[in-house]
Amino acid sequence: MEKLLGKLFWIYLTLQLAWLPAFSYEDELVLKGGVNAGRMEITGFNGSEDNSGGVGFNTHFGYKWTKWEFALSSYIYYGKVDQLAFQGNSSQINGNGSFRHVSFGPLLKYLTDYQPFKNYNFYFGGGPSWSLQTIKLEDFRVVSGEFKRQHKLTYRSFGGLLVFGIEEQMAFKQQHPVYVEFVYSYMAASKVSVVDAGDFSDTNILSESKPGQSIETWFWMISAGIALF
Amino acid sequence: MVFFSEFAVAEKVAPGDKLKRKIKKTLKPGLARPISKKQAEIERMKAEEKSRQRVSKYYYTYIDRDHTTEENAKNIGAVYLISWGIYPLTQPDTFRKEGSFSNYRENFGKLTFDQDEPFWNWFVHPISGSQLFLYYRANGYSRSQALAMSFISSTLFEFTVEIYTEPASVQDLYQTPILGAVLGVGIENLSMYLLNTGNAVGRFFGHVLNPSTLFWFYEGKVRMVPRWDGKKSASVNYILEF
Repeated sequence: MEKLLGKLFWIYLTLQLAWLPAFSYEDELVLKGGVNAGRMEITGFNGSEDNSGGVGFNTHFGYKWTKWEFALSSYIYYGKVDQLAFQGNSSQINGNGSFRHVSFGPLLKYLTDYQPFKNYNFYFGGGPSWSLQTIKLEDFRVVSGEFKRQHKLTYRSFGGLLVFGIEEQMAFKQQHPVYVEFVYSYMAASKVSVVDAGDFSDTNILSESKPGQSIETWFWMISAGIALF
Repeated sequence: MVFFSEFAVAEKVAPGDKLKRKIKKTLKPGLARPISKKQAEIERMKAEEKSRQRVSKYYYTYIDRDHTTEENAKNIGAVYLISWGIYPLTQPDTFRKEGSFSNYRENFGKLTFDQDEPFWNWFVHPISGSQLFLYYRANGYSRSQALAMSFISSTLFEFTVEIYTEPASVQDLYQTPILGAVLGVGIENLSMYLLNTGNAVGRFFGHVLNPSTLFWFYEGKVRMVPRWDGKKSASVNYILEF
């Protein structure tokens, strides 16, 4: 009986420690930045698909209350596309090249009391996201229409992202608390442009139209960073 | 080499010894008794060590303080006026070819994703943002406040200046102040390190990276006077000019 009570006491103590309220800086503006790596899945024209890895960085500027945090967030991701079909400016192209993704949006996060490690609390959040995806084809075949090497395709997309992670709880943000999060994002293109990127100092948009069919992108990323100030 | 000190001479002078009294009168304070070669060598090394030390005249830092609404308005106004001057000067071709007041009217209130190359969005704009951030830091704003002020200034630029040639861009609105602040913190740390090395090359590159430290509005330049008696006690006087 005594042993059982002892065990129950230790279980109770462990749970109490695990559910201790977060002790961290609050009611302050905060800028966070980090790096991310992950995988992207993209569907192109005519049902073509690609799945590739990439890296990037992310920044978040917002306000932190005790448990809630609201930030303007941006995720930047560089990757590759392989054997995808695209359509833009009445042209159809198949090819390989580089892929750039930059997204912006408000992100609302909630910090839970649960601590898997000492001073690290779980959090989750989400928000809408607007992005511009740029595809610069390096090796391509023009199926129809006209498309030159100096041209690039850009997709304006809208979607959302969900985050789940752990964040270090420090008394002051000047101690640069660390965060590690898992990001899932979905984007669907609403407008496609063909841009002449021959002269980097001058942007020449050749055409803008709605994408012929659904161009969708999924991201799974691991992101890690710190509170800068 | 032989060193003298006033106190040591006083010990050697016997009452009635005119010659030694004369020596005492002619010796200046700081000169001393005949000492051993070993002590002389120690003194010489100390003097040499002291001569090798670089005395930094100023200490460069950032002093955060609160600002009145009037000061905030003045700073935002000053940056806004400067941006009207800098924009046509730095991009004369774009300003001449693409700029017009009819464009201004058409672009007013518009917000788009620009199609610019990464050179502009991930290099030029963050660098401009970092200098804006460092301008506000030099004026005594904390890092968070400097970022908030940069946000206001770059938003005003995007929506009321740059629209003379092109509509406001989402990337520029976000990346100029945010990536600018990230870069600005790095430049701030590096420039403070270089400025406080005390050597001319370090100071030169410190000012090149962070030009706001050269101007009258920079509030973190602290006059530093080091004092050392050559024995045990050392102190530093800081003089801050408002």
